[in-house]
Amino acid sequence: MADELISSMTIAASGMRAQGARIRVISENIANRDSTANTPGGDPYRRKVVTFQNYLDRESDMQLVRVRKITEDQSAFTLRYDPSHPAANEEGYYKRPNVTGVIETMDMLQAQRSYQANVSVIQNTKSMVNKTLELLR
Amino acid sequence: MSIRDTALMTMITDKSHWLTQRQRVIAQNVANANTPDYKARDLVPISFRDSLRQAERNLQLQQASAGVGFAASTASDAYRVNRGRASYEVTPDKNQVVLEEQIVKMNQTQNDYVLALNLRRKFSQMYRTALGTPGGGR
Repeated sequence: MADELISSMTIAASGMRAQGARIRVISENIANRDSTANTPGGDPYRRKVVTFQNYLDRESDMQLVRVRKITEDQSAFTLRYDPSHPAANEEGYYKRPNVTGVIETMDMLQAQRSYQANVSVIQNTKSMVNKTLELLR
Repeated sequence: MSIRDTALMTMITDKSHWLTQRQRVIAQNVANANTPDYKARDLVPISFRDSLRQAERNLQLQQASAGVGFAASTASDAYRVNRGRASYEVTPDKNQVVLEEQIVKMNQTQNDYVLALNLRRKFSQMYRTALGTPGGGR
């Protein structure tokens, strides 16, 4: 019986780990918002995206979450005119990363919200376990 | 007949098993709140009638085989998981978990669990009162 409750906590913890990985990738994106190439015509930083996957952990027979893949966002880079930039091509344009601050911020909020939901699952389960243990008193 | 074999106790045990399993399913849903193609799941609710009937059947079985010293555990390990009921919100990545709904369900589960445990405690206190052991009248 308590085993079910313990596994609820493990599942919530796996969700927290996955959301943590997502926040890490988002912070990489935000930190690299201005990372451009330094050779003429070179590609700048490409935005990364996290996808999750639900999988069965056979050892413990639990449906956990993990990061499936960290893929790169293939959308187009924006061009900016600045002939003095080291990455500028013959026409004087250089490529800027395809990171949009607003999108990253929204993503981060969503990750935070999901993380908090997992935390409240753990708190809730913990109080159920405590109530069960109180039966012994 | 021990206290465990009474119909009420069997039902409480059954209910608390169901609730712990439900908590696990909800934890799964919340953990998968951002997983593409994931549908929220829930347990099939247990009905009072079925639960009572099962408890009484077990009681009869035990009375028939009295003296064997075998306390049948009625709580089956797995309750049926109901998956695929369409949710009212689907995100573009086909995820169908509504976090608010899950949190409400989780709180409901917790409250029911506390209720079941309190009933259990009250019942065993009554039992102790009947047996006349010290401290039973609390």
